[in-house]
Amino acid sequence: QTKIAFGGAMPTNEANSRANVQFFKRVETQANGQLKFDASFDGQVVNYRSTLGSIKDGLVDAGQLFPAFFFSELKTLSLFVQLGAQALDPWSGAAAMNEMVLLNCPECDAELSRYKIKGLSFSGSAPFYTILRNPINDIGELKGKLIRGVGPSQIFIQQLGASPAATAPSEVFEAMQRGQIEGAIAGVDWLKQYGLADVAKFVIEQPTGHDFAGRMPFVASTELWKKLSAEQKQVISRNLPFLVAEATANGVADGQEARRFAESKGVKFSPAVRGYSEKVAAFRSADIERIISSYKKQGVERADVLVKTYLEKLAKWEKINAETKGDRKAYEEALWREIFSKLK
Amino acid sequence: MKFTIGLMDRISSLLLVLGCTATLLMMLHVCADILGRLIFSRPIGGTLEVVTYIYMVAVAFLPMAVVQRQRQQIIVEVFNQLLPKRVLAFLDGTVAIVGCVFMSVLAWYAGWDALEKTLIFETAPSELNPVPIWPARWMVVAGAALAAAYLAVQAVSDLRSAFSDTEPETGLEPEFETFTPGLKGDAI
Amino acid sequence: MSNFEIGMWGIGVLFVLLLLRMPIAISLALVSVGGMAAIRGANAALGSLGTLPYDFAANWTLSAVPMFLLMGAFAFHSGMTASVYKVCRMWFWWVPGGLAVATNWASTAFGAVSGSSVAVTAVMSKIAIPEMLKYRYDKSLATSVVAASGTIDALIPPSIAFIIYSWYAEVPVTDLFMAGVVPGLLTAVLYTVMIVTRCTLNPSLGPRGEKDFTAAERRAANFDAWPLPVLFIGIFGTLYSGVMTSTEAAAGSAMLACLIAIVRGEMTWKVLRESLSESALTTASLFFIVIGAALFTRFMAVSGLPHELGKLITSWQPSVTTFMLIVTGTYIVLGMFLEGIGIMMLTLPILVPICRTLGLDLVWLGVVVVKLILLGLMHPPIGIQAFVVKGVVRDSVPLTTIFRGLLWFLGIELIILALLIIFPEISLWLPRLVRG
Ligand code: NA
Ligand code: NA
Repeated sequence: QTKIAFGGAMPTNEANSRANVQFFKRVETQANGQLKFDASFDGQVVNYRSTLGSIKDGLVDAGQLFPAFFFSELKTLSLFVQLGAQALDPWSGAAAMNEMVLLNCPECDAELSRYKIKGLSFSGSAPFYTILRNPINDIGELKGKLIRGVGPSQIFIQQLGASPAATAPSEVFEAMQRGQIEGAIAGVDWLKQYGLADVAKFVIEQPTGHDFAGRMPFVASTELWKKLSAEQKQVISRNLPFLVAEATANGVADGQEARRFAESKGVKFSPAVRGYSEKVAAFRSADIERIISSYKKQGVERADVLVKTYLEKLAKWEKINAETKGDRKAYEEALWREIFSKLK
Repeated sequence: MKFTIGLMDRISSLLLVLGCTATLLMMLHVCADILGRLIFSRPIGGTLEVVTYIYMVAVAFLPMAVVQRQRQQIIVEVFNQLLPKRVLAFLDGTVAIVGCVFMSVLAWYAGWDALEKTLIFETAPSELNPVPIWPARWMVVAGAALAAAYLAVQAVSDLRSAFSDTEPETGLEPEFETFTPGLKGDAI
Repeated sequence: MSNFEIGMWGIGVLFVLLLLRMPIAISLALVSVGGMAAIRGANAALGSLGTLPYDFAANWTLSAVPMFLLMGAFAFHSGMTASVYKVCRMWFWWVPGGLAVATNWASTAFGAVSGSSVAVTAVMSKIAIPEMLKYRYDKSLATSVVAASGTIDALIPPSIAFIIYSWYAEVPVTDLFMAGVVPGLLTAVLYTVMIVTRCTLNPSLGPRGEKDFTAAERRAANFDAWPLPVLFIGIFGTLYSGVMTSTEAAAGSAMLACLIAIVRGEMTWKVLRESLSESALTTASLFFIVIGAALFTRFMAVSGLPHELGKLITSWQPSVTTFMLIVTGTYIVLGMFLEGIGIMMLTLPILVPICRTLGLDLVWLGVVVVKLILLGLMHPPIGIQAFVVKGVVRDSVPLTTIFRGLLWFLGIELIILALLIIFPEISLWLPRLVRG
């Protein structure tokens, strides 16, 4: 029997962690007692910033990884995190990331293996919306206002005519309550998780792009991966499509739940803000060039090729998902067929 | 030996001055950021990043050598009145050796980490303000290494007094008079 | 050996190291590294050692610690403590034990512009004790009232103890600050009742004072104390009005204290240098312990001990009162040997997960924990508040006399603690009111 110590930075009740628990149960049963997970969550053993080091040093054998915390360490991977704005639907976005990074990005493999990590999964999340303290009709009303955002959102906020603020997540509620910031671009689940439903009145219901952070619910140490037998690997790989789908489904469900919760508190959801969708579209197309040139400068030589491949994968998955029409089983089968069956 | 300790004192004082500078800059930087936001509705870019990844590390680690030099580490003093001075000195000397080994190991591993971060020119994880933060990694190394050096000196001095029955050196005189006798860093 | 057993051994070894006078920070770190090495291998344990110190110090919300310490240092150096004591003395001269009562309220008032008890106690010792001894106050009352009322500072916002707890337990610091106000004031009131009663029954403890000032002098003294209310309003204004976040408010308050010192012409090069170095040195040794505790927390999590204990306690289903009695007992025992932040950092890694499992309110727990720590600062054999006073009075008052006086205050503390545990509303209604 192989014991796997797993360290999650996310809270136990978060979408990815819940999926992790289900995934562990399935793997344990199907491996007939050959695999056993010893999991901790809530950042108790591994927090967001210590994930790379903890897996590398062997404090845990596997964990959740959030590449957005490692801009310098995982350069190429962070390029795809930036591209999150291109994916408006979580299912296609997650699938494209899995196919791109796990199968088509030798640079990503090299970066991860420097920290003795074997990347195994990406999940999608609830959509990111612009959440505001006051209703607006026109984006002109945001001029000069402060809005909280991280990563590429900051650039989008500038293009809205507002100023980006880098408020810490734990202070967003307080900052919005007191009007230090007018709003935040954040996952719709923040309305519940961070209590923003109590301080927001208005949500621009148009995805600004999907999960800018990039979430890997399950990565393993290369040492663990080497140690596992072919059968053990097979059991894990066979269940990765479930993990990806389950985590994404949880994220989407949490978003819907947060939305209902917010609406019950009188928060208004509306896509009708003059000028907004044009800004989103303009941002999304201009951002591709920005990312390519910025990452070439930072030494990711194949940035243009990687971006092009990613966009192709995204288009491919948007097509697949249009055909399967939200059938979860078919989605998991497609993930297996196209990606995880080819995992080495 | 005297020269070495003199040099250590100079370097640790310099590090403390740098730590103080970071404290002052932290206050000014955050206040400027608030004013910028209130008056011009435009915060100073990178305040969060610089405070978090540079000033805080400077305040936490650069003064560590002086803390050790003044023997201001918080300890539990149960046996103070119970044990004879020589036994106490022996105990403190032994503990200082262990502490010295520990701080050296800390400095060593932090050093490898710092080197790794230097080679990739680590920046703050922020799109608009990718402040270079790798130099701050070396502050941990500097503070820990110098504290280890002081522990070594103190171990020698304590053990010497334990075996020769001389008065143990009770830490070097603090450079600045503090308003709190016996504060020993406990800020509750 | 099972992981749980390694965890238990770790706690045992920790206490041995502490008794051998190993610095708390190094003891915590050493035990954690050893324990994690036993469970997950040496590489895993040592790797954490290289990165964890940086990762924990690089923290935005904890920047409130050096900033509030700096504010306190500026406030001391611009003479605020002395002028506040003068005012309190002129208001309370007619009360039995008036100087002691004045000391009590001056400490409380100063608590509103200072983050640390030990610092207030040190300064009040210098100002108030000579005054009380001059008027033939009982030595044990004169010294113990300074030692005890200094602790109120940690309950009245701003408070370093609450900032550290808030960071650890992930509870909003603004809630904790509000939750401390009523228990802090309640403490000051009950101390006053106790002092006045004792001095009425036995006037030799604190002879009635005489009015040795004119109305004009009192007006002048009131006016001279203006920086305290200004700074106080500044801190609360920034904390709760919404101009800045609670973390930014710390830097804003330090700046305000600095400006006040400049306006009063007291900001010399020396004052600046001393304030900065006090703040930096205290932060450094404080953070070292916090980092040790962070390692210890990780060790505890890896061993699964808090989880197992939590399961044990939930299956046993004690009432909240029983559970809190056990907690109180533990803190009093620990308080015999350990101090302040150290004790908090030793216990929270085990206590907080258990209380989460039991569904206890973590804001309320924060107030109780801070009160328990303050209790520990006052009782023998190790009681840093008494030591600080002793450091000022030197050989003129024996330590046992100070501790004897503190017994009265400890009695009051136990009453307040019982009230806090039985009526959580004492701490919780104000934060709820402020939140709306
Ligand atoms: Na206070
Ligand atoms: Na005590």
